[in-house]
Amino acid sequence: MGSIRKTCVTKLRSRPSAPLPSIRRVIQSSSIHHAGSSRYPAFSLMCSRKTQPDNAKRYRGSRFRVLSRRDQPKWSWKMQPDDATTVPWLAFSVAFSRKKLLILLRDGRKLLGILRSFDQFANAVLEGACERVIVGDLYCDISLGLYVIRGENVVLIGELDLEKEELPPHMTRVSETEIKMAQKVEREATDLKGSMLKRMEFLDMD
Amino acid sequence: MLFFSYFKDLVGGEVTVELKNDLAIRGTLHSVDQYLNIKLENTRVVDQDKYPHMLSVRNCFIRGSVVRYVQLPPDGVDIELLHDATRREARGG
Repeated sequence: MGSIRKTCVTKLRSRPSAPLPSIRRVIQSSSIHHAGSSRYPAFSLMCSRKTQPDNAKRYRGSRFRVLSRRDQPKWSWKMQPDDATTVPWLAFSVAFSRKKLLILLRDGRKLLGILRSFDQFANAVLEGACERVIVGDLYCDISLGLYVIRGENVVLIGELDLEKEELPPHMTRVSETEIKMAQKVEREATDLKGSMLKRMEFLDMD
Repeated sequence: MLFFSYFKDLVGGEVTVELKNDLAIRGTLHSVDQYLNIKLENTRVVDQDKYPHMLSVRNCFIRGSVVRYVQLPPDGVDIELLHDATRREARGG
């Protein structure tokens, strides 16, 4: 029992107590940290200690730094003085994190929520997300919860001006079932229009 | 990288960005990056009635891959300079 404790103690002592000086400098110089915190087990698994030396090598010389100590952020972006204004995603995430946003997706969906994280590929984490369905003059917010959006699906991320009306005054809010019905009717109408046009093609109307 | 530096020179100018989903947004170019992602300020949508959900959007980030056109201010391009830079890049210097 005593010997085991002894070896534990020596192991703890032999562990390097401080990170490399260059890394420490990076931590101090950058203002943005993304912690792979212990609250997200999957994340900490991905950034487990075993994989870190490779990552550190891969990113050496680039502006991404992978950090090695558990009590510190797992990676950071080495800031240049003017980055916070000249890099669009950084400018945006500095100015608009924790604000209410509208995200337009490639399939035409409109998501609203509070931005939690964001990067240069437009990957985004949206808290309290809801989808806004608009059919004619009717609209409905369907709540969805926490959303992680892959960047390739994003068209636009816009900040909502809280002083302005979100929608024109003539639009009315309806329930989820009503909006689903309206959507169905609209889809059937467009389908019908398409098929009629196809059927009447021979008439050569123009 | 040529067009990246070109757009960087254009920062602060008024541009209209037309997206691949036919949405056209006019605003002041705030910043641009290597993917030609664009951040616009004081935006307004050209066809407001068709896009009611964009009414209260004042600043926005546009992903570079969805941009179809960027319409520039009339004096926004120095053709001689751009010709020169293009030729230089084609030569590989």
